[in-house]
Amino acid sequence: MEIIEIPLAGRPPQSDQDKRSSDVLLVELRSLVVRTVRLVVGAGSSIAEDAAQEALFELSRSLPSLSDPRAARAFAARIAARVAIRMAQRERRFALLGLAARRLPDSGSTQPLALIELKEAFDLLPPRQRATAVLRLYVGLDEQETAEALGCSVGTVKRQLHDARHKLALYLTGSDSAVEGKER
Amino acid sequence: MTLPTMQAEHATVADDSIRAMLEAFAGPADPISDQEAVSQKRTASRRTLVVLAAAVVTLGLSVPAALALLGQFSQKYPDLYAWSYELHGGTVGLSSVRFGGPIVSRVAPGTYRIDIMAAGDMPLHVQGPGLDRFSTYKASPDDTWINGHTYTVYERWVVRLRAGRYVYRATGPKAARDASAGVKIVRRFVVHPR
Repeated sequence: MEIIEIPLAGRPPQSDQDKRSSDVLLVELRSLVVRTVRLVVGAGSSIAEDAAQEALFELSRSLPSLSDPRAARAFAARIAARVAIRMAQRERRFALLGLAARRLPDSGSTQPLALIELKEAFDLLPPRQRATAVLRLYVGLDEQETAEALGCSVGTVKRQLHDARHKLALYLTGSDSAVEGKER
Repeated sequence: MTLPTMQAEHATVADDSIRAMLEAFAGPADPISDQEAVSQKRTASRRTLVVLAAAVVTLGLSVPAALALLGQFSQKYPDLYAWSYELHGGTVGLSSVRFGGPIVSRVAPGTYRIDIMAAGDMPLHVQGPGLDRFSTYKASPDDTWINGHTYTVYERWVVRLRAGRYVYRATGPKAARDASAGVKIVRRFVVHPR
């Protein structure tokens, strides 16, 4: 049997121990990455699941370059946020063309109506505001970590979260047309 | 739960409400596998269909005319390279340069010659408008899926790519195992007039 080994470009060879520790970290960070991406891109959308897989792929490629395992959570959050924002922004452009992502069957339909309305309003927020809210309120990063994950200042994180709360309230109280108009 | 928590001057929603919603919709820890065909991943509105129909008609009229003017009714097709192989940090890819080259996500409509390189136990499946094709599966019966690939399959396809979204993926047991390990085995590209 012919065995073909092609080394991965730009990556130093890993020892077995390094590979095992990377695998363990990947398992630990898997749910954080998948759920973060899913919430930012839009839970219930087939594209969100694709994005989650892409983020996992990027994480598995990048993990060997992580020197401090204590920073793994913030590291994973940064990758998840980057992928999610990119996909969410692309989805907004597709939406402008009238190409909406297909919804997965029975996604969240068992949730209380109030939560479904809030989720629908949340999906209307700009991607960076969604990412800020998810990292701060769901993942539990502090403002400094969130700023590093999003590549912005702490002040921007505060403003994004404030704007997100405010816009959600406007959407939910029926002033959404005005807000939507500003977004576009 | 009261949603939203309104205040007089500054309408806002409480963090607890947002957190509760995020936790409710966070979903499972693994990506949900979507078995639908890629052509069904988006629902097109009537406006989109009208725009696409207009684009198809325009292309149908203008492209042959332009080609006739340029005298390019020859059999020379542009090349694409697609692989389903652990190559340069990715399992699958499509490049206009070479195997393992920069991956393209958008190509112009037209007829292409696609050179395929696939691990024998990991056939490439390309699916999209007017195309649903696998490369040859070729693995020895005693393959243990551990020590590498038994064969490398090289194929050359001549295909017509139409406007729309195409997906290509590595298939077979090895690919399924890679996918569960977080390796990206699916990519897509858009065929769109430049």
